[in-house]
Amino acid sequence: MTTALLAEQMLNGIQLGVMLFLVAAGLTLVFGVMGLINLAHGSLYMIGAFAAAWTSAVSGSFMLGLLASMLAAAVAGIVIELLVMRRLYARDHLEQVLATFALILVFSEGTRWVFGDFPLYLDKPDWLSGPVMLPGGLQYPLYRLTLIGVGIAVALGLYLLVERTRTGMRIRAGQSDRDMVAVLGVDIDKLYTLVFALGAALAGLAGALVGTLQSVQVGMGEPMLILAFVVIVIGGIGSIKGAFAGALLVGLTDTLGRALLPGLIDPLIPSSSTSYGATLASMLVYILMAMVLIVRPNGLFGRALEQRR
Amino acid sequence: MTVARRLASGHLPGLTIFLSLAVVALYAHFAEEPFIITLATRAAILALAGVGLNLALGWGGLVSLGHAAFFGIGGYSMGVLASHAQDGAPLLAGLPGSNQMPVIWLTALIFSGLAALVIGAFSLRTSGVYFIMITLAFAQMLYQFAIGWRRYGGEDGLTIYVRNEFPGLDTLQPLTFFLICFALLGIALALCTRLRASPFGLALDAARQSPARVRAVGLDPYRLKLTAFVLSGMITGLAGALFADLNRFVSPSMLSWQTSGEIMVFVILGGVGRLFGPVVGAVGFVLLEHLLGGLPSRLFGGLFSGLFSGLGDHWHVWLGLLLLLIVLFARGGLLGGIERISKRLSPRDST
Amino acid sequence: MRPPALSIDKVSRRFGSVVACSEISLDVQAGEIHALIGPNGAGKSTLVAIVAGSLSLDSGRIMLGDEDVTHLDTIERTRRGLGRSFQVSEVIPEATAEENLALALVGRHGLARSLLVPWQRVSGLRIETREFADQLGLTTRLQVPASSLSHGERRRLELAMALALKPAVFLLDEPLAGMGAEAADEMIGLLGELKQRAPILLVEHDMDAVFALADRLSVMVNGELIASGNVDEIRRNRQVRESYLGEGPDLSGRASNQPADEDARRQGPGVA
Repeated sequence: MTTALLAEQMLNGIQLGVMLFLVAAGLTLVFGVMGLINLAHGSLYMIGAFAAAWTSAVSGSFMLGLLASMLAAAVAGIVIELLVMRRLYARDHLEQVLATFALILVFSEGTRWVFGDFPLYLDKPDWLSGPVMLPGGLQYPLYRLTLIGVGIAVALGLYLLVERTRTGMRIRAGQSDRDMVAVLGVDIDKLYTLVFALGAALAGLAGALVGTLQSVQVGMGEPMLILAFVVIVIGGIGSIKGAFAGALLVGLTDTLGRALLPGLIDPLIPSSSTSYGATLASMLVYILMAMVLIVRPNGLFGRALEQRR
Repeated sequence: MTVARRLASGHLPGLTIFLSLAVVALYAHFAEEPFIITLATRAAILALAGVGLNLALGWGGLVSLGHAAFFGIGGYSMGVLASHAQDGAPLLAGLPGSNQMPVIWLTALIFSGLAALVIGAFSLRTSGVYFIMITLAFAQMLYQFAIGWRRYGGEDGLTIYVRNEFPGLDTLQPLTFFLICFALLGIALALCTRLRASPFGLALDAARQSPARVRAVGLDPYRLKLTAFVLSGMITGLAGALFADLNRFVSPSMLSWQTSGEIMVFVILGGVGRLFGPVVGAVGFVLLEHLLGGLPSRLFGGLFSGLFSGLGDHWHVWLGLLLLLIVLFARGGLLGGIERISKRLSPRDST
Repeated sequence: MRPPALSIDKVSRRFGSVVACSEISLDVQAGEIHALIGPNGAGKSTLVAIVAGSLSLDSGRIMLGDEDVTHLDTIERTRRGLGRSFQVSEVIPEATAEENLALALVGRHGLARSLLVPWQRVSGLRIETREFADQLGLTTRLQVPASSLSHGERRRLELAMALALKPAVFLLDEPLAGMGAEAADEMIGLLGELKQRAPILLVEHDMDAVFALADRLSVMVNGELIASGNVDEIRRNRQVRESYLGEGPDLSGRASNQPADEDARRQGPGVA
């Protein structure tokens, strides 16, 4: 593995990481503020991707597609927040899991019903295509570099929002003491809807951006959701900082693992059928999660959660 | 509801449905409708998987989104052993494969139990939400592993051409295999009844409601929950081995999050925490699957097939909506509903 | 001389910059009820949690008899003879009173490993639950789910569960909390009998109970132990009067000088 290849893989890892951050941030925010675990978050990711694919196909504009992705996901988010999530905030985790799993069924099958089984493709625009020359002589796809930029921008934006604005203050207050915020007269309903919609929009955006790299199909959201869960467990639930750190960790571990492990392990355990290196690489992030749990049961930046009785 | 009352209530309707499974299978045997026996067998096996989950979920209060891990381990136990028996290659250190059900079941029990021990040890140290995510993640890890395990089919899965054998029985007969699964389900139900009534069961139920109180009487909620989780994993693992045998096929999808979700769905549908809940739920699920899935070809062929075929093809939408309604408005699932109805029908209560 | 049943030795605990407990030392000798009183926010709850084992301390020691249990958790301390009750009733709501008591017995006898025998058939268990229920006047309520019990009955069930553990020392956290006059008097009687079984560290706000029951009193204010001694000594203690009991010569618990203020007097001036 040459230095150039290694650097390329590291960039890929960061790119995966920031995309994961977009997904995980919404999830962890929603849990931190509302105490809600939302399995349908992957569906919002998927809806964003489909909205982008459809819109950009119809309008010919990639940017319009991105806008549509955030809007569609936010709208879908608002709709389910009003109809379903509102009733779940006070319920226990099992009911939240079941209800949001039910939403996955509805959204996934619903999307299949409308769009059919075949994947859609979302083409990146010409002005984002092609390689870019990085210092050191490495050529790297412009599009991926842009994703990294977008991801960092979002992270910064979220940081500013949460730490510097009034809304952010309310969000932080809501995170540490839900009941108190309501008592203080903050419009809790609006705050919750806002937080949910924000998380949804981020997920939708991620769906569109990643969908361009791969493809847009039903079921694309759930693997990202599960990875986002790993990110949150590693980073600590409720913590955006943790989500960022965890996402980068997961992104890098997964990408570098897949790039390096087959070369390292396969020669040691030769097999005609199975690449044990690749298999180990696919399990690596979960092993990472397990290791973090051993030393930090509440994640790197997590606080111990109060037990609900 | 007291332990005793919890065990007693829901028994009659649930027991009835449990027994009716056998009645249906017997009838189908004599009516020479083997497909219906297969459906009944499928229901019995899924019910067994659900009984396992219910022990952790309903009684222990552990929301495990990764029970497919055990289901799949059971399935692959069968797949690995049987495929080696099939092609004669030695398995490990010269040990041969096996197509004997008792051996396969024992293997499934051991490996899913071990997996539950490890996963439980990691997951139970943390609080509720993390537990859900961690169990899901570990199941996903095994799913990835199975996809990469091309020795045993990888993503395409593994076909076992002949049903495995049970000494003294002709397992190729649909009814015989059904009765085997039904018997195992019965044993599991009896075991759960015993467990719940035992001091362990009392302590476990208490740990679900108040871990602090349990600690204050000198018991360790973690140990109780871990024990329950391991037993739960073993039962679901056994179901996995049977499922793979029924379909003569094992694939990574047995380890998928969808499978975890589906098992949870029908446990909830039937009534979580109730003894026969998984049985009722599994029967309902298999019926729904069969009826709705087959709807388009039967009713809406021809003129209306375009739009209405969606009704059946996409029955998951209806399942999702149904589940949503149940969670939001009708807790207790089907058995809970039956209980409420019967309470209203017989107003003279016996408290 | 035998070591005290419970010994709290220079226990300190802070939360950030707030000092909840500052070098608290007190002990509970065999045969006595040692009451711990003080206004809300004095740090009593923190100390209770530390003694119970659910909260760690920053420095100091907790001894049960001659055993240092400082680094042991609640489960271990319970197994070594600590029997606690909770300030807010922590009973198992869906289980009957009988099942709750059975739980305590399962804990004491280490029966949780028994997986296949119905607990009702474990020899002697039901009889024992009955005995403890009788002692706390819960005999007729054994089959009632704990969530349906009255508040007073639930407090008694809490106590019965602690009793069922046959502990070496009781840690009772406001057992009279929320009780009306009649129920409180009954509870006071029960607590008096309890002392025969094992010594008690009693945290209470109800001054009637404290003055009626306590052999020794310790007063905690703002994280510090400002006084410790028998009832008369404490009543005469100037600092205690000023900071907690309020100024005034006559502080006998039962005299009803201000009938209108019955509840306030009962609760002590620490309650806002």
